Amino acid sequence: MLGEIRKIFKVIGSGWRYIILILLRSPISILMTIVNALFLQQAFNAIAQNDSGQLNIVCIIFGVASLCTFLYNGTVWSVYAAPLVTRMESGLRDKLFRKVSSLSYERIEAMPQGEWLTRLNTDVQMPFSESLPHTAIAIVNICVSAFILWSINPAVFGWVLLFVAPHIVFSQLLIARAMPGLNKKSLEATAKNTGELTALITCADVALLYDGKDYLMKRFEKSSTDLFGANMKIRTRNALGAGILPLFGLGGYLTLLVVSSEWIADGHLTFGDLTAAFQYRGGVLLGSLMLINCIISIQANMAGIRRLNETMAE
Amino acid sequence: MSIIIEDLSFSYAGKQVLDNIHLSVQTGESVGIVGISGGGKSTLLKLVSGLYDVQQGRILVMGAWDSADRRKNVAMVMQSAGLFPASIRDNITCGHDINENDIRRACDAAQLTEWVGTLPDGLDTFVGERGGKVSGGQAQRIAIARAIAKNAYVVLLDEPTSALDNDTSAAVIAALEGLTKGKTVLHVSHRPEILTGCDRIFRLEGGRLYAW
Amino acid sequence: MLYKRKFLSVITICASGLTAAVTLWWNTQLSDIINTVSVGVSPPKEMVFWALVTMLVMGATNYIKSYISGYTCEGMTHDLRMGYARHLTSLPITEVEELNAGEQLSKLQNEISGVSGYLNANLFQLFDDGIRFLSTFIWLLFISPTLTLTSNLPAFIIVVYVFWSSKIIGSATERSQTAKGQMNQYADMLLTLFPIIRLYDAARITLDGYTSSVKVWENQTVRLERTKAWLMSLSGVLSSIPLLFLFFVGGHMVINGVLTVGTLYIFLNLSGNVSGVLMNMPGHIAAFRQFSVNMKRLSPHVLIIGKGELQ
Repeated sequence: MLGEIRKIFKVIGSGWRYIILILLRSPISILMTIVNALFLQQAFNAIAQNDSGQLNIVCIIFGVASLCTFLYNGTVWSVYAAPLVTRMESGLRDKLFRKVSSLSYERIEAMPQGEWLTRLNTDVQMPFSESLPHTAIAIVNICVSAFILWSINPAVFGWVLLFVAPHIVFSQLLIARAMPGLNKKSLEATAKNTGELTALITCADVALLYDGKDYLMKRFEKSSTDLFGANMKIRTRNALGAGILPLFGLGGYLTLLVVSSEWIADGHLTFGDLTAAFQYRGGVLLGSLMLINCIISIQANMAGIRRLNETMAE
Repeated sequence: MSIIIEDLSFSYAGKQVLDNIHLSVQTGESVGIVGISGGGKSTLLKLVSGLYDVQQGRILVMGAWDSADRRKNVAMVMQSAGLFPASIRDNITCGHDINENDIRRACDAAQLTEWVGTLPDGLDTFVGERGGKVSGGQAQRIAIARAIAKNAYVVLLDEPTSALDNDTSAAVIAALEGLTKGKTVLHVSHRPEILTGCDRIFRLEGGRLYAW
Repeated sequence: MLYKRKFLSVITICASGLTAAVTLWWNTQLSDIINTVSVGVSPPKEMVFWALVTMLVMGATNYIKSYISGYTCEGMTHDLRMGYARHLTSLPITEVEELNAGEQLSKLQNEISGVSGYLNANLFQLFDDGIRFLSTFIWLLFISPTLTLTSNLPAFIIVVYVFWSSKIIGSATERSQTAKGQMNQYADMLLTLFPIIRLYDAARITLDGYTSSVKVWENQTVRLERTKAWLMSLSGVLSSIPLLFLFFVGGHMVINGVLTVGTLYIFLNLSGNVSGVLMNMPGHIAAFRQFSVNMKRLSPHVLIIGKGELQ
């Protein structure tokens, strides 16, 4: 996988600049998590100490920090990301078009037109999908959030892990693993249904002549019912996820609340620290789910990237 | 008389396609109509078959005036086979209960039996979307088998071989003989040489019918 | 379509209402737990037990809501497909032939897939958001009208901003997509006319044409991305304001003894149900507008009859 990505970026050029972009984008999400977490921590601490002045200062700092974070995001996006990525893609499109133009007619005829069009119009976008930057963002989010959680209180980190790990495993086992197969069946059912609908139009005269309208309608109804069934399987999985997964989240929440009361009583933790810990917990959880989705997405994009490399190597 | 057409006129999208057509076809007779592409030949067949409603004039087929009743008395083979995305069997029966022997007889007459015998699933072979998994000639012979299985008194042929090459046409023409034997036939084409076997030939020009 | 599945539609809406009610009940218990934990006291076992029970009930209601809304939406989409098919089979052959020849078929199929996509993704989400918003807003108003209004007022301003900015982004996106379409047309031309291009040595013309269309697309896309960068970053800044107001006003209310920490926490927890829903409204409204346009175009082509198709 890495080899193919390296190859295509060699063709595109500006590989180092893309790496810089990923490095610039990677802290954005963790910055927002830290700003929110620190705000909640300091705000609740100020409230616990009945310190209005401190609360005002915390609110002002939060406002400024949010502004700076989004200013950073906007600057990186506008000044660096937008022109760099767009120019890289247009460069690749140009190179690919020239390459295909220079191939022999025999080579062009060897593949259906649709496949060439896929390379020129669709595959060419794959190297620039958001999956790579989001992978970096997710990794930074997970590592920094986990580190901060550990430094707040190792026991808190342990409890968080106890609920986040099964949450991720369960969501993968229950939903993510089954989805590609279920989606494939749904697409097949959709294609069948579209075929039957097309037949209602293209074979209308034959159906009328041979009294086959009812027959075609019955076939269409069956294909529509099958499509309903295929989609309901996806819905059921999602419903199970909606029902079960939040239990891990809420369960972890409740458990942390209950066990932390002693630490708060002993002075090892403040309520503000606890609310900050919930934010970092979110960072670990969402970062992990994002990482898994990005890996799946990169794997899906690899087919297109491989095709591009094959074409450019001809 | 199998087919009687009286004072038939038809216009479509503001254009007069057929103008005051008169035609009578006897039972068992084969009539050919020749005309240029876009001259109204297919429209005439669609009116006779009951696919289109008559705007002006009358059409009687085997004693039936009404479009729905006329459709029951005709079988038609068109330029495009018009296959359902279904098996060969379902394309022949169109979902109706037809005796297995009758299906096989239709396949024999349409010169399909030999080819179907080579298929692993036989008559249950899926023909593909718009008949994509079978050749043009095979698709037309399935359409002919369908027409034979219907066992209608009147057979309408709308250039069934025009989209095929010479060799394939020959096979389809042989299959058509199985369909048209003993039936009343109305055959339209833009090539007069196709219609040499007809008892009478007419020319459709400017929406009007003339003797050839 | 809703009328045809009225029983299921009502059950779905009731399930949304039940889920919203259970969520609010969970938050009440959370508030009590936080009030004890924040002063370093362990919550009583009974409190924890009922919180656990509420959690399980919440899981169950989420499942029921998700399943039933899915079943209802899929059912309505099935009705739509059947209605369209029924309409097609009722057409005279002349009209069907016209449909076959023209682009109408693919246009109609795109509209059907747009409508079914909306039904599946958004229709009951809209009801769900509406119920969550209303129930939460009213409940929070009941607890503390001052805090509810001050923390959520910025959201209304943000909604106006989101409406305005999404229109700008929408136009810029359309321009970029048009330029992309031009680019893709050159790719299509290259492949369709490849032998001609080779025979008549016409590569230069196609290359020049493609290069200039790529340049146009590049300029439009950079402009689009820069527009998005600033508008969406500003949107991010503005979306922090409700939280800021919540703590600024709510924090002082806790310090002054008007409110408890637990109550402030549930305002924090439920802010997504109020300001979050409000800020998503422009997206929902845009999607609903597109859905209405598609439905208007489709309804002459759909014959929905009597009860639901699926028994």
